[in-house]
Amino acid sequence: MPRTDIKVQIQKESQPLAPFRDEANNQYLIDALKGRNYHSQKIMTPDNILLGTLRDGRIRVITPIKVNFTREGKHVIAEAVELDEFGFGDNTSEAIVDLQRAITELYFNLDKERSRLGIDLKRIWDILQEKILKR
Amino acid sequence: MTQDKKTYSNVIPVLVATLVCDVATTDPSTRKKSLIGVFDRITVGEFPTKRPVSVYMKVTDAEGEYKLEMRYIQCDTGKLLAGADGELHSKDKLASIDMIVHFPPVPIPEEGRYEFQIWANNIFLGSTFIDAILRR
Repeated sequence: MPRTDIKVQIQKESQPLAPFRDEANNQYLIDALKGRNYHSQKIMTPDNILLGTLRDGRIRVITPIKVNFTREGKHVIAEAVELDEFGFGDNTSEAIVDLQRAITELYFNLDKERSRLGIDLKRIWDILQEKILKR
Repeated sequence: MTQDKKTYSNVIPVLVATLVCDVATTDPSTRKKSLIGVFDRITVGEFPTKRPVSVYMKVTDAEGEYKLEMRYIQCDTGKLLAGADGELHSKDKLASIDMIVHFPPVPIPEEGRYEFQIWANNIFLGSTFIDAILRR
């Protein structure tokens, strides 16, 4: 896998710079492209990530949500273990988007019904409140 | 031997915007950013190919030190094709910070969706994508 590292030193009030760290890396990238068979369909799925956004302007994530990935055939399942929520998709990106929608929906549903939640849903709601803040 | 030990922030920044474009520049006197040729789709005559791109991003609600990473991923395979690392320091949580990352020609091995993912302290903040389509 070609990887081009570009060192960017970003400081507030200073000019962002993104020079090529090493021209040889770029040449490697080009060479790798020329000689590589990109039709390989080996699928790479990360084991887990920390999710810091739910793509919804009404809420924001204040504590990252742990997400585990599993692959079932051609589909990827993203699971927010602490929340018992799942997202599905043909690839990791789609599974994350689906999980983000599911968590957002869960948050607003539980928020609406919070006065009459059972023990399990109350536990989930408490976790959601630790992780998500309404704007 | 001394080691630079940084304490990274626990505050999760909010990714306000991220855009892929042909050219992005910063006015040295005003720090204003100019984006030329914003796109999310490219039509390609033949795969594999490669293309230089610039990615603009703007974050807010950042406070403290962050290790920033941008990953260029082929969605269908999950392959990491390129990346950029950087650091962000913000003293004012209410301020917004924008920046530009210039990529050298990034590989576009085949038709499909490619994502630029933004990570801060290994936390996923969001992404933007480009779709590569074969010219028929």
